[in-house]
Order: sequence, then C-alpha cells, then structure tokens
Amino acid sequence: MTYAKYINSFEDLDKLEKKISMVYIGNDFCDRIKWDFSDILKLYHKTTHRGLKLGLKTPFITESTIEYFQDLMKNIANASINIEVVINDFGLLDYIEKNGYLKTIQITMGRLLCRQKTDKMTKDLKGKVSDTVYQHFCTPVALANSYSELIRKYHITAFEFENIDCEVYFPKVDFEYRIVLTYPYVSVGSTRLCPYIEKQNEVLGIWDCNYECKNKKLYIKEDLCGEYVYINNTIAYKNERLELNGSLKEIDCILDEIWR
Amino acid sequence: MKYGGDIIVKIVTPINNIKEVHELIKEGAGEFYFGYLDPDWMQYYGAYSGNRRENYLANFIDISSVKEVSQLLASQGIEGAITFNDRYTDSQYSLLKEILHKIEEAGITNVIVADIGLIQMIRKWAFSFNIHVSTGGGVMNHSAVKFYLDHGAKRIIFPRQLTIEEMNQMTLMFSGVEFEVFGMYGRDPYIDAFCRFHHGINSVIPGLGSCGCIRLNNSAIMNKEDDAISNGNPYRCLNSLNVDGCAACALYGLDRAKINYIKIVGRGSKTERKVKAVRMIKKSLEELENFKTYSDYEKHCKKIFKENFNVSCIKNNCYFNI
Repeated sequence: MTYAKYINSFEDLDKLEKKISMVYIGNDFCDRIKWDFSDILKLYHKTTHRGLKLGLKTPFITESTIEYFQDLMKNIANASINIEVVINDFGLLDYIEKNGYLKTIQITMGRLLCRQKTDKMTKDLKGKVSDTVYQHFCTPVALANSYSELIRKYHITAFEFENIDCEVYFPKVDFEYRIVLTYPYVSVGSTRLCPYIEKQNEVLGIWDCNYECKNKKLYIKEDLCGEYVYINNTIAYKNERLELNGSLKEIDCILDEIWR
Repeated sequence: MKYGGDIIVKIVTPINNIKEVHELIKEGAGEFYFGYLDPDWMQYYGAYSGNRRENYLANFIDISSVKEVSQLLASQGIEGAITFNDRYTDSQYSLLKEILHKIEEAGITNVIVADIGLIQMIRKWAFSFNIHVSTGGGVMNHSAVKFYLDHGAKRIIFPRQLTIEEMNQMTLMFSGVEFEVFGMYGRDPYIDAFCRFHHGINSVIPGLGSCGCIRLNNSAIMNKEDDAISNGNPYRCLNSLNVDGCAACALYGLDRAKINYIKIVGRGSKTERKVKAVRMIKKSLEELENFKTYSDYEKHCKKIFKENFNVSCIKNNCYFNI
C-alpha cells in the first residue's frame, strides 16, 4: 500500500509523515487554480531527491483554459519527467493521446470520470430498492467492460475512487488496474457558479474571481445528511471511516486530502 | 424553422405522451426528445428509471406508444430522440441492448447518451443510431468535442455552465457537427456531468426526501471561521423561481449559424408548461434579427416573458450572463 498526501505548497513537503511515499498537487475541480510548469519541475526535483513520487491532479477544463492545460501536458511530456497525471476531462486525455504523450505521461482516471455514485444517501437505499439496483449504485461506472477499449487506448493504469460512505462493488473486468482512494473527502457536485464569489448585482453567474476560496472555508449543515464542505467550487462530505465493504485489500494507494 | 436570414434554429422539446405532440408542433417545437421505460427494465430495476427522471410521469412505458410517436414525427418530417442519459454498469448492458433493438424497430434514429461506455457499446453492437452526447457527457472544450466525434457522436449538447463566448469559440472550430444549448427551465448550480446525487429515484422512495442537490440549495452556506452565514445562499433562488432558467435574451449573443438546437427541459412537466417555454423561445427568435443592440432585445424578451409567464423576468432566471 502506498500512502500519499495532497500538498498545497513547497513548504508542505517538510511536514510529511514518514509513511508518505508520494505527493499530489493540482486541483481536480477548478480550472482557474493552476500550477506553473516551472514550479512543477522544481517540485519534481525536490520530491525525487527525497525519494517521493509526484502526482498532478487536473480538473474538468473549460474552453477558456484548455490551451493552458494542453501546454502544461506538452511541457511535462517533453521534459520526460516521471509524473502521474490525474485526468478529469476527456478532452485533455484525447489531446495527450493524439500528441503521443502517453509514452511519457502515466494516466490515472480521476474521480470525476470514474463516476461513482457518491450521494451520502446511497446506503439508505439498501433494503428499499432491490439488491440489483443497490449493487448498481455501489459500483463505480468506469469499472466496466464497456470501458475496456477506452482504458487500453488511453493507457489508463489507475482509477481514483472516493471514500464513499457505503459498500463498494468491484465487478470483474478484462483489464488490469490500480486504485487510488481519496480520503476523507467525498465530492458530490461541482459548479462554476462559485459560492465564494460575491454575486455581481445579486446575479448568480460565472464571474471572475480573486481566489477567495484560498482564504475562506465554507460549509453547509443539511437536515438529512449533516455537514458538507466546499472544496473550492465543489461540495463534499467527510467520511473518516475506511470501510469499502472490507475491500481495503483492493486499494493500492490512499491519498490523504486536506480541506484546501 | 427559419428565424431571420437563412439560419435554421430548432426548438428541442420534451414529451411524455403522444397527445401533446400536435400542440407543441403548432407552437414551434422543431424536434422532440423523451424517455422510454421498458417493462423488462422495470422488472429488474423497479422505480429506478435509468434515465434520471421518475418512472411513469416522465417516460413512455410501452413500445407501441414509442412506435406510434415515431411514426407521427416521421409523417411530420420531425426528428425524435430517446434519452439514455444515466451511467450504466456491466450488469445492465444485456438489457440495454434488447431495449435499443426494440426502439430501433420502433423507428427511433437518435439517442441521447451521457456515458462513454454506452457510446462505445452502441458502436460495437453496430446500431446505426445518431448519437447526441448529453449534457451529462461534460463537453466543456474543443478537445472534448473531438473526443466524442471520434467515438461516433453527431451532436453535442453543451453543459449548462459554459459561457456564450466559450460555446461560440468551440463551434467555430467544427463544421458538420450539430450543437445544442439549453434554452428554458432546469437551471442547476451543479454541473450535470459531475453530479453524483441520485436523480430519478428519491421521490418515489419514502423517507429519502428530495434530491440531494435540491436539499443543499435550500441550506444556508456558512463560514467556518465564525459560523456566520456567508454570502447569503447563492443557490436558494433557483428552487423558488417559477421559471428556473431562461436563455431567451442570451440568444442574441449565440452564434445561431452554429448552435441551432435550443433545448427545453422537463420531460415530466405538464403540456401547458412546455407550451409556454416553446412559445417564449419561438417569439424571442422571431424578432431577433430586428434588434440592433442587446439592450433593446433584452427589453423585448422581458416583455414577452411577462406576457407568457405572467411574472417579471429577474436576472437569476438567466442561464447565461451577457
């Protein structure tokens, strides 16, 4: 089992516990939050020096920022550095494949493309729907033979799952894979109508930001399901219990996240 | 239907019964989409529809009615599409294949699909359906358009949370691809493609309450530092609007030569609600070319809105900010 930690800055490298052998940077949810390639390169050399592997999370990407992320992939591929890239956008994945960067970039299918039903109420469906329906809801969609061709074409070697608050079913599939489990935050929805930004003239919309999310932590207390937190533009709940239907043996890497 | 010059724009309208088709065509509907809940599916999955809308209220429930509506649309020269816009797991694929066979025999030629796994299987099984990539496909950049085209897509239905500028930029890069945009109802703060709440099942199971996203929209957002309410509740307004989402005045900024399918949301809605939406979009489009400024066109749309819905338009109705 690999233990990994999400870090926000170079300084965080000095705070790592001994068991950590990999660090992740980047953002899965907001395409406005970016790391410069030069900083990634510096961090890569620092982590390599310390015997740590490096992973880069990338978000779902809008037309406004696709060029930036494509350039970043080009730079990473050309530098021939050994970084795992977590992909949450089929457009970026396709760009990497079409440009021959799969030779140097190692791909993990991110939590947004794996499409687990992460709804906190999934466990409440047990006994109220048939076993067939319940199992369907508890099965990650990307773990399906219908994805085989895609997995092979794009050299996807790992899936990023979330520590959902219910059982997980692992169906038999005809491809090999590793699982990276994000812990303890479980995302349920993302938005570009960002809750951190003051509404302009009281209007809900896609407005410019000053990275307000870096200095402010927002949460919601909801009657049925308890507390949710905002991780940038994404709503998530915290589940500190590692259960996964007793299937921890299926997990290859636990990625400890912070409320960033 | 031509709206100024030679640009053809079609209003893509939801239906859940054959009776409403004629009235909606009369109002200006140019295409239809609907759900089909097969009896064999219901035998296994009961209340879970597999197309993100509650069972009987939002779907056709026997194949003969699908055939009937398909024939009616063909006689009018109008296209229809069936929604398969959920995510599917391996155990469902044999049943999905049977259902696709049934609807193909019933004359359906278009399917709306969100899951790349199902898109791959439709091609593998050699069905000849035109594939419309659902908003659930999450196509937010031109490389994602290329990705889905390579996998056999004919039409891209843009996610709700793109800007007009982003959509126009993307469409400029492609020819021969159909693009569709949301026009009326169903504005949601969370991006459909990345929403992991249960839809289409909660309301039919006692004790589960409404969908998670609706419950969250109604809850205040708090600041962790001082537990004070932060920034009001930005999303609560969406639940309280009579008309939850309208893109009528935004049509001014849309490149209609490229984005010429405008979607109305609400498969399970009453006919009257659908009629109002089609009428709103049609009237907005009809006059569009006569306006020289956005400001004048916006005023015009607001007037139509008030006449049509009997309430004033407010800015939080807007799908897209101009």
